[in-house]
Amino acid sequence: MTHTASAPLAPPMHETDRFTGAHMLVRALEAQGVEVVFGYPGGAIMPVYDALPGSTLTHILTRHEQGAAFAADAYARVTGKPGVCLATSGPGGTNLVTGLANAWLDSVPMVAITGQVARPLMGTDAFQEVDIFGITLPIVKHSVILDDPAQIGEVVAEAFAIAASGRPGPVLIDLPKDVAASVTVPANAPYGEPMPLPRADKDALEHAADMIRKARRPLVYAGGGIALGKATTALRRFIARTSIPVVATLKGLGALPTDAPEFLGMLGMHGSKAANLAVQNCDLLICCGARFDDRATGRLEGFAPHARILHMDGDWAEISKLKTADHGLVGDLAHMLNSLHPGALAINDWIDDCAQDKKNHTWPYDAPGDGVYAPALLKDLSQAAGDDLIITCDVGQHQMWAAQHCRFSRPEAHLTSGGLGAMGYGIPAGIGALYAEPDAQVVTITGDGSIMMNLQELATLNRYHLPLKIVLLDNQALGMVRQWQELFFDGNYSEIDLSDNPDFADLARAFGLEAFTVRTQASVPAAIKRLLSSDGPTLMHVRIDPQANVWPLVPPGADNHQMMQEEVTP
Amino acid sequence: MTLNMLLMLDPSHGALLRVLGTIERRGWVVRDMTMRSTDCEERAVRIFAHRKALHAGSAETLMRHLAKLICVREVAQETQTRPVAAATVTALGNRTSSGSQSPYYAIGAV
Repeated sequence: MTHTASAPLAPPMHETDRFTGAHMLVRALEAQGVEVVFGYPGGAIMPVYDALPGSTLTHILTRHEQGAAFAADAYARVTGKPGVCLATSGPGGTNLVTGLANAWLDSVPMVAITGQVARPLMGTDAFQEVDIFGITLPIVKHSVILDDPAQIGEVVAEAFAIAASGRPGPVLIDLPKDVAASVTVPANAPYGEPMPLPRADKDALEHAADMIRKARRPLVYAGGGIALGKATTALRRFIARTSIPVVATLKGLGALPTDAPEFLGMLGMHGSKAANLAVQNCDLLICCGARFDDRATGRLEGFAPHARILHMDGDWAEISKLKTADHGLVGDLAHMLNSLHPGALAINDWIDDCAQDKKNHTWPYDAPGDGVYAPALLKDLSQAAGDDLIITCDVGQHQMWAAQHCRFSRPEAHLTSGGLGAMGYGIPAGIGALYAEPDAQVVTITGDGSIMMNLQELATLNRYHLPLKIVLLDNQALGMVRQWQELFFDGNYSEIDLSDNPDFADLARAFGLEAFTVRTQASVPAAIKRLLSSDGPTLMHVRIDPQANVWPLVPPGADNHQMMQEEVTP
Repeated sequence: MTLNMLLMLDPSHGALLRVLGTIERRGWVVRDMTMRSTDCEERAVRIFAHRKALHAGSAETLMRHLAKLICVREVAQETQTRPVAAATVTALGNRTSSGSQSPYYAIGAV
């Protein structure tokens, strides 16, 4: 590796008579512009914690390493900069694993630093020794065992550059304790600069424009790559120029504002009917930063059956990975979209058809009965919160309701565990989002299954007085599993009952949060107002119908237009 | 389908494990493998792989995934005169066969 510059070296941060590998590490993090790290101390990482006081880094002590990883993930999604988490060896490292997998599958830039037993003990089955390097090989973009104190600055710079370049991802640095504790010669910390993606050439772009010109039913399929490629503005300008209808993946929500006339909704398993019908009827599918994930496509052979495929992505390996592209463009997505000028398109009939489908399948929010109707609550909540809202989600029915019914003005405002589907993401992600945008209104939408996965982070909210608003949709069950058992396993309900849940409002109050319970639809407006106007961390516990399902639903193995709908009983 | 590849790897921790893991996770099985170190400390690895799973992607897709690994400097299909990954390398930009410049980042001034 070559490097040409280095950060100016300040005196050691404390105890000027020693300058350890750990100090070098902290200095290297500062040189990368890191402001916040999320972590949990322990034996092998203690030298690093010894070096933290006096640094410019703000350390957030979560109550579990998984919380630290999810918080760092969310911080990265909102800021676009790598999130940083720290853990000790052994269980500290293994507790990071789910967070690393989450960042890997959702392409989130993250640098995870784990302590490791001292080099002479490595390979001896020492106390709290696990091969975290080996364990995480399939779920990191890169990883390093930092076994040379002289290379600390260089390795950290490389880790940040790799995490943020191209298709982002997590990088693990495993730091043996004796390396961290070793007295070393102070050295300037190099600074890693991400390499920009190349730009597609003119001929390839002109071919793409020609495909769009010739299409009569073009459709944009927008994915998480829009936000990763910082291409939101470019996409919106492209749509303004062409008026081409747009569908989005779970991670693409917000790329076009939810209320834009061209936006037809999320596609896929729990997508809108208008979006899925458009996919099935289009004659050109313009895939922008999406990867033909099975939750989006349903039966792949039946996905967009009449369409040519124009695939634009920052990652060459995604082109034709699952669906053969008629034309692939690789590189800077924003540049591609800004460079596509197909001219006037003869697609008015198609635009009208899509608009009519959207109108015909508008969601009815007038559910009968006095109970709280989750889709209506989420719609009202996101409208009341306005454009500064950031929603973090857990995983399950509430996650899909949020995707279907909340209003998103930008992709960074919707933080969800898309690829991994990790329950427990919501609250730590809310913590990370609040450090990324302290002035934002951050709301976590969770369920009674998910909240118990990282409940301990309520203590983190209280410790740092973080004004996270939590909406807990409680159906006393693992609702999504229950729904699938009802529909696809002949109603054989197995291990989904959570009716012995604790009183969540009391529990939240025990952690120092404000909390209240909502039971009726009539009380929802006042409850939303109370939640959004509260000063500190607040939990709104909402009782919902245990039998409620998420609709529509594309059954597994079906085509996207074969959606199941709720049966309305007269 | 079978695939005969030559990969040039960095002499870094876990490079071979990453390559083998990627091949197997993407639905291929390694049937034969040889490795030697070069003068510049690269590891030249020749792998003969067989597509195991019906759902496995194409050989080209597999080589693109391998070329993305930070520790892999070059991937070439042995039966072709031009390294297949050269197209990938060009697309990613700024990668040289010497490996002196990372494909994903540059080290620059603060």
